[in-house]
Amino acid sequence: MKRYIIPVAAICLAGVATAKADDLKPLKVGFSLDTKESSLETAWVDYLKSEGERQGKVAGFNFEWTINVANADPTRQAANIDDLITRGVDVIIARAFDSGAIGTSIKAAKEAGIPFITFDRGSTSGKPTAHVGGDSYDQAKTTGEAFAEILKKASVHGKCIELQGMLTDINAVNRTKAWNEVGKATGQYETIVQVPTNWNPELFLSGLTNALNAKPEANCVFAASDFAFPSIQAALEKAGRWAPTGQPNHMWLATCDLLPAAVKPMEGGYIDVSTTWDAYSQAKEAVRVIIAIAKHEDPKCGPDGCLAKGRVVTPATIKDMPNLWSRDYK
Amino acid sequence: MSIRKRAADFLLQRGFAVVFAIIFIFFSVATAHFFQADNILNIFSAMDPLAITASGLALVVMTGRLDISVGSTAFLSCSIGALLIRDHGLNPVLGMLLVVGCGALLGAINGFIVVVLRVNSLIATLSTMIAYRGMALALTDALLVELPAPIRFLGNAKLGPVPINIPIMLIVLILVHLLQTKTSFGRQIMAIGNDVTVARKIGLPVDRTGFLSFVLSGALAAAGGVLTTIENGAVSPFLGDGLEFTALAVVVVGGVSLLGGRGSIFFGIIPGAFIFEMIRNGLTNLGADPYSYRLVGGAVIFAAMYADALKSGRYALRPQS
Amino acid sequence: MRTAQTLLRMDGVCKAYAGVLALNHATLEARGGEAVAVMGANGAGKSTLMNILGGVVAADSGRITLDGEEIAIRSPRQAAQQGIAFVHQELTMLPTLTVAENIFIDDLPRRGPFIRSVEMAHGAERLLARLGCAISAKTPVEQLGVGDRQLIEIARALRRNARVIIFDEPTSSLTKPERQKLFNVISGLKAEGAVVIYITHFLDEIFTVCERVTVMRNGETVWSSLISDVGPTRVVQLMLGVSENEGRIRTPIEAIGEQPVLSVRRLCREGVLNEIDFEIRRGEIVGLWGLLGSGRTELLHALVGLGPIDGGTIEWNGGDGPKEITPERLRARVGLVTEDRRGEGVLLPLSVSDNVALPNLMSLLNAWRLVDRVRQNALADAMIERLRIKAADREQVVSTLSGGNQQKVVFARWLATSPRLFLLDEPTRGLDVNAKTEILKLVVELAGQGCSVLLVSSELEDLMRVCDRYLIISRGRLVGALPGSADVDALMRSIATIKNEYEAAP
Repeated sequence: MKRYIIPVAAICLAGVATAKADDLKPLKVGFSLDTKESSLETAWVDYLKSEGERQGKVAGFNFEWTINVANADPTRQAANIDDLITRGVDVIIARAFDSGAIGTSIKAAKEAGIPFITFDRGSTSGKPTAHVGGDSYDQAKTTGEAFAEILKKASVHGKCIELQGMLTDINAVNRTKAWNEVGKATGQYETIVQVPTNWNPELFLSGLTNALNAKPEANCVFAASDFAFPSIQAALEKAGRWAPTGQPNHMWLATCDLLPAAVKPMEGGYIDVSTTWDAYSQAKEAVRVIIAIAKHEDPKCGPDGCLAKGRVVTPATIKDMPNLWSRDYK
Repeated sequence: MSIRKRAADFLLQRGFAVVFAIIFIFFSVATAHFFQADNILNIFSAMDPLAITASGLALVVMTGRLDISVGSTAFLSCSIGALLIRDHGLNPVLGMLLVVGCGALLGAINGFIVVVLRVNSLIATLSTMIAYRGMALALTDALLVELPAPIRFLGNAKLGPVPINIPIMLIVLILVHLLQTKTSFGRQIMAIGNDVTVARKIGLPVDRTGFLSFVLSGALAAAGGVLTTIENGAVSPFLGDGLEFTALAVVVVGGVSLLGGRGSIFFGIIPGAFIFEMIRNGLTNLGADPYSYRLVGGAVIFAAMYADALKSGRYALRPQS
Repeated sequence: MRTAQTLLRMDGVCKAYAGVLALNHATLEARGGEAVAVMGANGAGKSTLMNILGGVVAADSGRITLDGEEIAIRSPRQAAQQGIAFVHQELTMLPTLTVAENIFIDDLPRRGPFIRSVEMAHGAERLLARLGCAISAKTPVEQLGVGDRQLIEIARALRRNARVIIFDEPTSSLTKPERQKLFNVISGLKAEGAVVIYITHFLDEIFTVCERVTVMRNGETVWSSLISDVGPTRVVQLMLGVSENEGRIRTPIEAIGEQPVLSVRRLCREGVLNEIDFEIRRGEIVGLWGLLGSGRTELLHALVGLGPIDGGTIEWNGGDGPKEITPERLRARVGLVTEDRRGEGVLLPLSVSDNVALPNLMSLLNAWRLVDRVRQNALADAMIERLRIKAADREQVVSTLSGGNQQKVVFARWLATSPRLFLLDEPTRGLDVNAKTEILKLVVELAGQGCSVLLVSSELEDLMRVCDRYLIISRGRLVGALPGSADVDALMRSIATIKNEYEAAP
């Protein structure tokens, strides 16, 4: 039911963000979301609005948001974006449902003279004005570096089991690359076995179970994502390695994303470090890019777009880290 | 019979055992921790959902039909159960029964489409495969449905050194095996698989048996899903994803002919599921390149299919007098 | 033999399919301890009558009494409960199941939910022993030959103390020793007092196996008597009926001196065709005369490669002297018209024009190697006129034409390729009298233009209206030849002469 109510509500909510607009130039931004199924999307919307207000004030803009949701239907999304064009918004930002189909909408917006920003999921079918997304390479890199620090402090040489994602997914490939590069560079840990999971929790469970059996000397695990954390936990429990930091049978654990499933285990000290898939940083970066484009400036994106870096979180910092969506949104 | 022909016959009849033994011995020698009681138990434990699902699918395949909706059936049934347990405080034991009942119902829909509406089983279950998965994704919003922690502890329960799900699987498979070999229903399944027109002519309840085979396939797929869910402590959008093909591969590798009427549940499905899980386990033990898993799995399926084709061809070519 | 008492009577049985009467007050009487042969040409109604007795189809009216009691049979299961067993021509074996399972499959003995395997195996072996057969009950049927499978089929039929056993063409795929074994089984059944109903196309067998004979024609029972009261010729006459003479379309010609178009020497197929020798001359219409199952269709098929041959030669004279030819290549040179218009002849959803053009596309191509519409239409119009096809125009869809006109379209397809020889297998099957005459006239016309024709028909009167001479075929062997002037009696006698291969069963 939820998914049918939300688009209606979202359209109702859309509108003027702030009233004291005397000295501020209005900036109409259309945001096309593909779905609104999880708290991630809700967090994005909230962070975009609050960042728009904050950064807008500084830059002299008054953000006016129009948000619509396509319910995982590419045709619907195309129609939604057409609506935004007709409304005459100044900038369009969209999370594509179908990377291969969004190109048509990009073209239509460009023809209407409206800059188009792809958000989180890029386009394979046409070049947008800019792309804003998460930096998955940096995520694994910072996780790896922080993890190496932690191991160094504990005087442990890490022999890690790496749980890889789906190897046709660019994020998964980036993460395995960065993780292993940091390991080599620091010399603090090495990957002793790689387990393919195809992002399937069943394979997280059976793969990690097998690996723990095959390599009893393993003392750390790197998970390319922690969305399926219950499966990781189940495998560790089976092997008698489920213990928080400080206990002798603790398995050193580094993950990427810090999704809702991983918040509690980190608070409990089971996960030693994670770098967030950071809705807040991404929203912040998106607003920065929108303002730059509105000012006809170069947003100075890298070859893969403007990528927002995640933030490193540890059991010590998780309580007080501001704007942590996976902890704050349920 | 010449020695060559005898060797060829031996390979055809026992080829699976030979391949099985070679792979097993290879992993045992090549890795330090493969051939250990703990690891073998691990393999048995990991293959349970697959084996149970494959045993249900095998009943349909033995009638000469296919059910490729098993993965989606497991996903949808478990989603319904998990949501009710998480959001409405349904008793987990009742929840499990509900999931299996749900699977039976989804199987009954397949059976209805195939038997009553006379739609080809591959097409019918292809469409329900897509539809069931779509419904489950809509229900769960494509998100992980986490279950209360005590349920996962159940998944880690052990009987002595043996994880509890192994005896559960063995009991289920023995029951299905007895059903297939020792009851009229099971023999009727084989009769239909031999030749549906002949079975009809003899006066067997062809439609009822065909329908029930789908119901059982659905229920067993859901039961496999229950085990997966309990072990993972959650229902993920990936539950049962690709399971239909792995299960079908297990069925064929286990010697159940896709033409129907031939094969054994206990002596086919258990080694079939074991070989697949053994390959995954062994490759992890070897620390093999992650890309190699699919290649090796594909090669095993191909070998099994080819042997099946050869065997069927040989029987068909046998002179009739 | 026990004293013969009447066991089974069927009286006034009627059955119509879509308004067409298949059975018209048919009767059948059979006694315990005797075998009765039910004879009849194709479509005479014997299958329908047996299907009613076996519960496969329901009669519209009529009574069946068994041991003086009227019984109702609505399904094969009910028939079985009444002690009526049907051994079908096509075996209903389940190859991967065991012998015992095959015998008991429709009613497996159980204790609780489980099958009593041991009891079942004993039961199966007892039944098989009764049939003088010692196969292990645990053998999978796929490892057995056809003869053994048939015995298992019989064992299944006998399981419920059958009082009446129907054998539908049981010998058609058996070898000689297997046939002998079957006859012994039937003798055994008779000795136990059962009624045996025996259907076959082989005249010789009924005189070996049966005590009585009932002959059916056009849905009616035309004769019932002891077998000793009739001879083979009489049975054939009863089966085929006395033809009302429509008169010949052309007087037989003797094509002496003409070149043979086709010469066949020592053509064989193991168990089906035996040393076939004949030739056909230019402009001749040759009738291939034999009962169903005599090998006549098989011979036609073998000539054009639709069935295998084990030996022999075929020579073809395409105008430049006789040359040996393979059946596959002969197929491209002759016109083949079969009774199965829908199956092999025409493409029903297409128009007359397309159907005629299809085998001739290569000759209709224009400069761009595309089919020339104008030429295709001209060809279709020419054929419609030449064969007097009654179609609204050349674009009429063939499925909407009458049977006779569909058959003409089949001829038209071949005519455009100008074949020198036509092989016709029951070309008039299912047509009404006028349409039949039209087709037969067309055949004569073709022969008049120099085509040769080899004609197969179950209906003697059709053959007698056009044939210049006859080849007589029986059990896959050409057993004689008759001139075109031969009369009905001579033709009937020719196929009723039987060589008694079998000893009377003890």
